[in-house]
Amino acid sequence: MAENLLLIIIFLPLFGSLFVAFSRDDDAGVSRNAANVSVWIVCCNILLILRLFSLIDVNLDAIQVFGRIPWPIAPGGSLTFGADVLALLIVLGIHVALLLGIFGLKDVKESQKGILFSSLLFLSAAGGFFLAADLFAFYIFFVLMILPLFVQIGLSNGSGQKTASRFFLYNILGAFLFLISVAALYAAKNDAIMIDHISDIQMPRKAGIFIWSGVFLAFVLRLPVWPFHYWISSVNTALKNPLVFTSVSLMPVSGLYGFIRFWPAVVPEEISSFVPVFEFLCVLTMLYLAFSGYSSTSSRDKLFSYIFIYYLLYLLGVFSPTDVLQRNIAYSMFAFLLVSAAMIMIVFYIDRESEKLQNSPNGILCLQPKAALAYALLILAGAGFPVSALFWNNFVIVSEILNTDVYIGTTAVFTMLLTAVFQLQNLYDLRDKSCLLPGQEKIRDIDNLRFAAGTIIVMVLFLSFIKPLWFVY
Amino acid sequence: MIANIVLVLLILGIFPLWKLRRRYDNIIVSISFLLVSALFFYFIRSWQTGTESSFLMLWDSSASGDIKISVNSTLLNYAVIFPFFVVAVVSLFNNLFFRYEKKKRAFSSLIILMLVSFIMLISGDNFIQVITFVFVIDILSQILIQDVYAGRRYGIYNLAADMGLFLVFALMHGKLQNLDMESLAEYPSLGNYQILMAAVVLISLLIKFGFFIFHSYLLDLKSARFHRLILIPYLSTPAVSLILLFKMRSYLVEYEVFCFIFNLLLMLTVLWGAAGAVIMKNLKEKSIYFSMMIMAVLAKLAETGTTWNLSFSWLFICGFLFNICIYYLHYYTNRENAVVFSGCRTGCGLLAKYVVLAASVMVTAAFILTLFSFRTEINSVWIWGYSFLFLLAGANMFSQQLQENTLSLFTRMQDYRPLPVLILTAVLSFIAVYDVYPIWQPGVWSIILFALLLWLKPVRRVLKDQYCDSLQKADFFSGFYNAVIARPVKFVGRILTLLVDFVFLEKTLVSTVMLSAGIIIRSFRQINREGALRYFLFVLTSFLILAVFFLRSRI
Amino acid sequence: MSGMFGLLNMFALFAGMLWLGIQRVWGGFSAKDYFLTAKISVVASIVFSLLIKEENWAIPYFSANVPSIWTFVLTAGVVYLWLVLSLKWFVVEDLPACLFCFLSLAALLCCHTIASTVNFGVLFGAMAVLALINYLFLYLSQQTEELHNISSRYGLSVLFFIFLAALSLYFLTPENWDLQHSAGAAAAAGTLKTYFILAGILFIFLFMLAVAPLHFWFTDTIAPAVLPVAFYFSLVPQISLWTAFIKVNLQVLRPLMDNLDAMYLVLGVLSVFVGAIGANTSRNLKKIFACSGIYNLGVMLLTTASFTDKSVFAGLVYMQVYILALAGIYTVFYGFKSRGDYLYNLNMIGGFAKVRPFAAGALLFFMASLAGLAPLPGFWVIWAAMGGFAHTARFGLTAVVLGGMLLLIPAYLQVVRAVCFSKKNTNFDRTENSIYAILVFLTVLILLLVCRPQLLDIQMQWAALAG
Repeated sequence: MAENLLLIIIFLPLFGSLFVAFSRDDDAGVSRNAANVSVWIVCCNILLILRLFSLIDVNLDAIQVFGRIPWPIAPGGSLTFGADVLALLIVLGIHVALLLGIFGLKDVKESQKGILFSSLLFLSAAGGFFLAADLFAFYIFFVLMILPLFVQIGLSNGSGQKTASRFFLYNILGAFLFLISVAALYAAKNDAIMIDHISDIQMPRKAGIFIWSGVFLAFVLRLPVWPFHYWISSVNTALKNPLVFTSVSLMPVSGLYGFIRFWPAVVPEEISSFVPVFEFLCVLTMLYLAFSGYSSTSSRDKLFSYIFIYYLLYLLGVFSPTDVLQRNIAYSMFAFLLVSAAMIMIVFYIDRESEKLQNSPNGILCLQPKAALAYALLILAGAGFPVSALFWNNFVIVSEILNTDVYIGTTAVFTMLLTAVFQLQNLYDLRDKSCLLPGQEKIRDIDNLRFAAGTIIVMVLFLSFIKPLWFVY
Repeated sequence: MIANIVLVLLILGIFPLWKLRRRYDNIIVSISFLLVSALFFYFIRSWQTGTESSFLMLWDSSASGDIKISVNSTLLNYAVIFPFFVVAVVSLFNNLFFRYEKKKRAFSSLIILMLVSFIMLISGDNFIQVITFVFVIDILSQILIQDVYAGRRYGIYNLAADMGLFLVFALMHGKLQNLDMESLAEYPSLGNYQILMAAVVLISLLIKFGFFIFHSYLLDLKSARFHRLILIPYLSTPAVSLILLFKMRSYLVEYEVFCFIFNLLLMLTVLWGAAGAVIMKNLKEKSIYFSMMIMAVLAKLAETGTTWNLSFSWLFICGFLFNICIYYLHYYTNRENAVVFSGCRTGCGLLAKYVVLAASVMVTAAFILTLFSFRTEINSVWIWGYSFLFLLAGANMFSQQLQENTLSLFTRMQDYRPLPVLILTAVLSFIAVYDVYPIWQPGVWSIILFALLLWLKPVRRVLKDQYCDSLQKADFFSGFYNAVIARPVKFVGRILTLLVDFVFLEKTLVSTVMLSAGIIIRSFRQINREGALRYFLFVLTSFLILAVFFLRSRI
Repeated sequence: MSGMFGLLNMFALFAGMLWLGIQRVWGGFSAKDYFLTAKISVVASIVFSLLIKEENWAIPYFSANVPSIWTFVLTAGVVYLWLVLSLKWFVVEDLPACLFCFLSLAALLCCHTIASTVNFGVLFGAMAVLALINYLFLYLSQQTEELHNISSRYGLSVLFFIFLAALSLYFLTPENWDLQHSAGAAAAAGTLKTYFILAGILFIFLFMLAVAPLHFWFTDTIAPAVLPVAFYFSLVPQISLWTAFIKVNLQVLRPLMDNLDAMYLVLGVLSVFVGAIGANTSRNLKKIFACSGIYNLGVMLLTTASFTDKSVFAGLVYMQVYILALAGIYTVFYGFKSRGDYLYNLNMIGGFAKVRPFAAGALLFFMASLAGLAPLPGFWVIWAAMGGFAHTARFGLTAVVLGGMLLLIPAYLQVVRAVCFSKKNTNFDRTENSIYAILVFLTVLILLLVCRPQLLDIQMQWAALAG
């Protein structure tokens, strides 16, 4: 049963996307049917994921429950999928994040159907990627995530065209690098390679360096590490669609997940000796993002900086020479995905409403008490206050980073502080009544659906603070 | 024992949040007060029985250690919790009369939850529990402040301090592989980054105390409602800092340089606090400066190695009661600002002010008396100097208040109900203090000195009631932080965005790539342009390639 | 007898051509009638081919095996789609449909001859006829002076290479025209003559396949040609020519493979980069995909260069998958129509997705396959090619192929951006149902292939590839 469940989780959104493709728009061009289908599909998948959680041993760290799809192209003759707590938590987080993104889509009229269709495809691809148990499936879905996201970015707004191409090129470059490495790995072992047994492959040292460099460069290209961050910053600043912004923000999780799966168990010494350089680059990017987020006046830019600083924090955690952090990263990242998606939903709503004001959006939350409450709670959770699993797990992650290198760790904490400060400042600015300018009579508070979604997320986060896997029975 | 109290308090704290009609507010607030008072008596009785017990709950476990929630009912914990309980009960009582509070139920709930958090913080013996409740109290404090302007810098300063503590605890956990607070003292022996970590701890504590050079965020609280403001020093972050200082003292005393800096800043805080309390016209600001002074003396005692005993608790309580008196002073003049030109003409109002004055004198005497009980632990110059400054500033404030006449808005007798309780509390506290430290001289001397100063008004004579307006608005340290931290960070951020994203990546890298692509495309177009000659050239090229390979081969 | 039976598909085409001639002489038939005749003839030839597909047969000058029959089936299938799609143009423009249909069947016949012959005389003869048909197609779509000049230049160039091929036939002497004997005869002819023979054989193939640097005519002719003619040039002759090229290399040039290998690699690399860069230089859809064709041909050449079993089969599969995807793309191009005219420029097709989302989606899907995105068939062939490179320890070629693809992708992205993301600036004509039907068919076919790659009926080849 669990095996079938695994495959259903991966492919259900794919089938759902077909329904979305054939759903009818209403007269105003709004795809309510498409949105409803998407919501149902994602909700069903969330339930299935929760069910799958109960079918695996959550105390075990190894990949369990293997599902196979025969495919002659794949070495070994089939694509293998498997689940462990880390993968399932990320998949669950991504589903919830996209669900919130779909809720956020309510006010956006442009290309709704196309975006929803691509989102479900993306969800399917992401599911396949995070639940892949063998290297070939891992690669296939790694690449498969690119196209739907590219379409989403392209469809989301006119100015996104150039950035969409940029996004595609960057990511396809990473995919090709990964492909070369995967091909070389299969040349060394012409059979199925399980990602948790990748270290069994014997290869000459030089080949190892070449292969792992390709793999890690592919992952790095997905992450906003300087100087590879530009695709994501240029894409995100151009986006005005919350669902697409959410999806783009989820893309680096794939790179991060790649690092979690491959690092540090098997890397050759020559590459692991570059760890300080990687760490330095990560911290440099974190600092850069924190400073630019602090100096920015836009809520979305601040949110962008916040999201990517945390990804880099997790990456630093992955680089630390210990394997004990995997769980903590999983728990923290789950909470983080929920927080960031809910924040995207609300920030985009506030931004859209603030366009009705004549000048700056400052003070707008005084007119939106529900949005203000939800946003404030989410900022508290996001800033690492003890209301979500982020808090204690980040503590452990930071302590390991500090244990490895105090200066790197201190800088990381400093950037976390700066991030929290600019988020809080933003909240205060948005609640500052003295800044409110004419136009306020047109401002609407957040609708009940989104408020309920935000509130539920806060509750889920709080429960995850008390017990990370509270939903496993 | 304490665990049971925590559980009941938690229920009592959450219950008022239940959405009910507003007309039930007074009933619920009264019930809350009664139940918490009952719990307080239960607490006192448990403390007196002297039985110690502990409650331990496994919260979470990870590869790097288990996190436990512990509530230890030790005599020390009882002593530490005691003043916070008093503060909570007094505040709950006051909430029954707070005219300006619109959300009485929520306010009661907040006070109870604050108390719970403090109990958990005090009981905490591991890093996670301690840092968790430090953060929780910060969140609750933000809700307590309510006002956006007042809470803005408060939130940011405290967040910085919390993250500092987070950093230190995380590092110690990493290095010691232990979550136990007691292992903190072992850290200096490891010899890793000691100065850095001790500096972070010290700065974090100073920020949370709101001591000199870090106090400007406390001054923003003048925008908050007074009855909420008076709770901040005693049931919020400065009190947290005090508890942390007790918990981390063994670690900090290892570094002499930090003890020196700490003492220096304490002294400056007392001086700055006294000056502020004298110079400022705003009663709320005066209250803040007095709180700074009170916290400074408490911190001084903590630093010298005093254990948190009953005397210390009474010192804390008296400090709080002094602020309550200032609040009632405000309450009966109904003016938050420009105290110099305020006062009461009505008989009731005037009487109320004298009752408040009497209570204040009692509380001040109790405070000074308790302070003198520590004369063996801190320098007597310190105590005398401090007492003098405190009395001088206090007397100055009351003389200002009594002199001026404005109309009081209170006409109904029910508005004067808190007065008997206030005077009763003041007397009881004096008696309680005397019970602990049965020497009457410092108390009496302080009353006489207070009265003398009130009569002589030395400061007012010197200043001639001329309060420079620019001095009232001046906020030296926020300007300093803006210039030294906020603006440079913003500037660096903008420059980096411009340099890295725009100049380096967009205009250099991307443009170079685009330019190269353009050159290649133009060259390609040139090669492939229309004409028969191109055909000839391409054919020739292919012949050349073939010829080269034929010639190189051995066909 | 079975060999003659195997020629039934050719007879069907002959019959079709004959019937078209009768219809023309008889008079009174419409363009639809001519197209119907041609389509019936093509379908009949496909049916006959499928009936005999399991048989390997040989008669004088001809020999057939599974790949050659599949080549024919695929070519005929493409021709059928082409005929279905092109009908409208003839109906609207009132063009000589009979000649067009006749040429289509003749081209198909030539293609089959090229793929299944084992005689250089027949092979080059068929190639010469095919070149003539190509010229006539250009003539048919001649509307501008530019195209007139281009077709003239094409005619001259092709004549030159046919002359070279004829020269090599002359040096080989007719008794050695048989593929099996020609290798020995060429080697024994003396160094200079051997050079001439080899040059003649290779040049005609490289030219007609449009391998760089002999690609010039390909982009030149396709860019200005009318869509049905561009479709023909891009898709129809390529499959058979490639099969014949492989056959000649395996049967004739194998002893020289050590030497030719490097040359193919150079030509392949050149084609990859010429195609990839060339695609970025234009905003003409047909030219972009013509250049993409050159790139793909380069990859096929690199894949096949070592001429091991694996590499040859990889090349064959590559061709088939490429043709399927390109057929889908060209089918969508038939939908880019405004006021009866086909639209070729990227500036004119903006916002197509807004009005025809399914066609635009299909275009994206086929292009994704062409770009080698997993798990579409375009990916398997790149994967197979990489397997081949790894097998021959030519890892650098992987970088060349993927690097070239990386250069090519911006051109594809231009198309996608224009079609899917740009604002609508044209009033598109209603898309015919036949276009949707073909798109659905091709999409389903590719999806089926994704799920069950063995449907390509090249298990043997696949086993060799995977093994």
